[in-house]
Amino acid sequence: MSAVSTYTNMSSPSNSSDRTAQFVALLAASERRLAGFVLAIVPNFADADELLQETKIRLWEQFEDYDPSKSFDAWAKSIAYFQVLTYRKKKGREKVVFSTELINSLEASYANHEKEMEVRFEALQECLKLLSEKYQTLLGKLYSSSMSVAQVAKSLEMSAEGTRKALYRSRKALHSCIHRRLQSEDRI
Amino acid sequence: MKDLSSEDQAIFREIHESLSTTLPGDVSPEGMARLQGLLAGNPRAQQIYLMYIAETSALRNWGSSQLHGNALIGLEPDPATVLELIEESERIEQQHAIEEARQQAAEQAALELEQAELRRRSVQHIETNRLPYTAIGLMAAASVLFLLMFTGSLAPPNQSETVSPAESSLQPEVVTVSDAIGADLSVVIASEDAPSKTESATITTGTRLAAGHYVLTNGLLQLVFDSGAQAILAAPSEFELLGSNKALLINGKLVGKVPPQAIGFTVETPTSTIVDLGTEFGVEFSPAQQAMEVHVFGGEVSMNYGFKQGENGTGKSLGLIAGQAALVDNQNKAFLKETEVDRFVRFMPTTIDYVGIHEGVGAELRTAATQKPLDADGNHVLGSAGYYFFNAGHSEARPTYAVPLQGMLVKKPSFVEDRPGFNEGVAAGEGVYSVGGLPGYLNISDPRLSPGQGTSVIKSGVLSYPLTQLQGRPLNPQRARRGSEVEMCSLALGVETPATGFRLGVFTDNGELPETVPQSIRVSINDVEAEVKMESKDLDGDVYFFDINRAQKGDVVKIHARLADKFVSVGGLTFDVPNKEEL
Repeated sequence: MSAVSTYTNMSSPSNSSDRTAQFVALLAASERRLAGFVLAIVPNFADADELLQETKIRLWEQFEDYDPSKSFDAWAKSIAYFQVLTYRKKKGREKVVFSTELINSLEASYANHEKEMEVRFEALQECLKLLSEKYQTLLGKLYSSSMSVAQVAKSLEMSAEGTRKALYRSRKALHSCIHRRLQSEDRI
Repeated sequence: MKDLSSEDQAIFREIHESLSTTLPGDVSPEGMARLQGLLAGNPRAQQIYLMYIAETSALRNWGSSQLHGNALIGLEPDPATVLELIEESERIEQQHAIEEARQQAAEQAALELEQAELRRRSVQHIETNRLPYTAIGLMAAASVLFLLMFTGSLAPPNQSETVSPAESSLQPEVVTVSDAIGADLSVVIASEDAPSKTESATITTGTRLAAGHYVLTNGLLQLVFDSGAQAILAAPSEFELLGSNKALLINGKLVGKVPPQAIGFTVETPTSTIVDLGTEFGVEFSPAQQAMEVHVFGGEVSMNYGFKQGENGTGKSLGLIAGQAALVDNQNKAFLKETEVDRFVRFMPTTIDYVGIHEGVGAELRTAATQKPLDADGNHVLGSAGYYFFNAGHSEARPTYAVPLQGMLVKKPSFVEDRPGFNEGVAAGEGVYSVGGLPGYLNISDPRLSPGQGTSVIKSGVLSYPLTQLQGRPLNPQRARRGSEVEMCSLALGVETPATGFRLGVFTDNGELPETVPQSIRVSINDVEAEVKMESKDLDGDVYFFDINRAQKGDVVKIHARLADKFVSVGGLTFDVPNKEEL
């Protein structure tokens, strides 16, 4: 579900169409980074998606508190951070979350490396072009969450183990490519 | 450009495995616990983790756009500009492996030098003159240091330490000579206060060589490194043995064959490093042109080139697989080409040498009591590994020629496949008894009796050319021309062909007519041959010996005879295998 379709259908507390348009624009610009931030703290896709959704609702609910002279990104992340802590309390018993200490440490670390993470997004697009069609298809299918490893393996006529290995090989190759690319541009 | 360190790569892998046990993003509690352990209190791991997540997030974004029908990106890129990213990434990893191998080799070399120095001191301490010199391998440690510096794999030595040439004999032995053909090998002895000199080295199969600097001026040399890697060097060449799995090729050609236990076998040249990842390759370095070529015949190699002398690991890397070759020119540019299989000596070639004659061994060729200095296995019985005696053992004359196999007494050598092959016109000789008052064919001790079974003699016979009758009808013998040569028989060798070679004996001068003794006998195998003229024609039974080495399954030995007159005959063949230890 896209941000636009979600939030244009919501009723805003301010009930101002201008306000709604502003929120949608700000969120659209920020959502990718916000998703990355949430995923860093909650690396499980399903949980991260759920958390991101809750965060977006909370952002809309609290949008009146947002000071337009300040960074929407920073504000959104602070809301997300509290959502994560709440989520941690809720999920703590299931042991699929990091410790509070590590979450704090990652949040600080995230702030230090934010630019580096951002440029990776662009570099990845370029590096993906260097992958063969087969690997692109494999990554596309696995990361769009549309198929399981077994399904992807079957569609590419590979074994499940071969698919897992191919996944690692392509991730590693992309990572190295991005690293070299950014290094040559002196961006890290 | 600095690439990811192996430590960073290991962290990356750990992160990936923690997060993608089954499906990307389907993180198990175990995966989270593993990740928690890796990241807690580890800022470097956290940084790599955040990059991994950034890439994951970007991939999800991209994957989602894929799902919504967007085309894959870059599906029809310009093939000239697109690299297969994964292969490139793996090449970079191989480069790391080379660097690590170089590092380890440098550490090993330093350790070996240190140990040699310690041994030197302890030898001096007990003031013995009986230093464990190896016959060869004399080389100044100073020279080793110089060359290691040259290849950029060792820090400069302590200048205050000088080592005399004699002490260099304590270099560790790292290689065994497994074969040599006409090889003239010299050791280069360097010293600090005199020009380098060379000292001729005596080598035989089994000679151990110490780490050091060698020049091969003639012949072929096959070495087995202690790691199990095999190298064939062809003259002229100059090389250094740097360790139990490593050599430096300064000039000439080297072919390496690398079994699994020796993967990582490294050949350096002054401008490049080649690490074999299994099976076979050839390296050639020309100092005059400062050019290096590597040809991969099987498996794959990783090559690092273009580094400056004295620098470590600053070059480029290239992976080559079977069928690929690369040339690195004096500008350190690499060009890919196809493998040239004939450019290198990949196998020690089969050789055949005439050894000598046992003249007049006659009836005694199977009798151990008669000394036979040319019997290869030393038991004084010729044909211990097998024999063919043609048309032997008859008690009465046969009226006609017979097929060659008729009357052949055989003990087939285990390494000969099937029966001998015979050329058209070759026949089992006509009769075995004397005609017209001639002395008749020579008696020989019955080869079928083993030494303990007493002695019994039988008439020997011959394989003869040309066939003068066929099915009772006379043929024209005049088609045999004096001085012409005929192939009498051929032997196909099988899997059990001994690695230590074998000695073939050709038995002749046993018939009743001296003019049927060949003018000469030529034995050939593959593209090599040996020929000997028959001097003795006194009908007392002579055996001419030929040594055949490095033959293998599929090779064919052919025995040719040159006609001294209008007939030619051969009495038999014997096979003996020398009692050499197989390497």
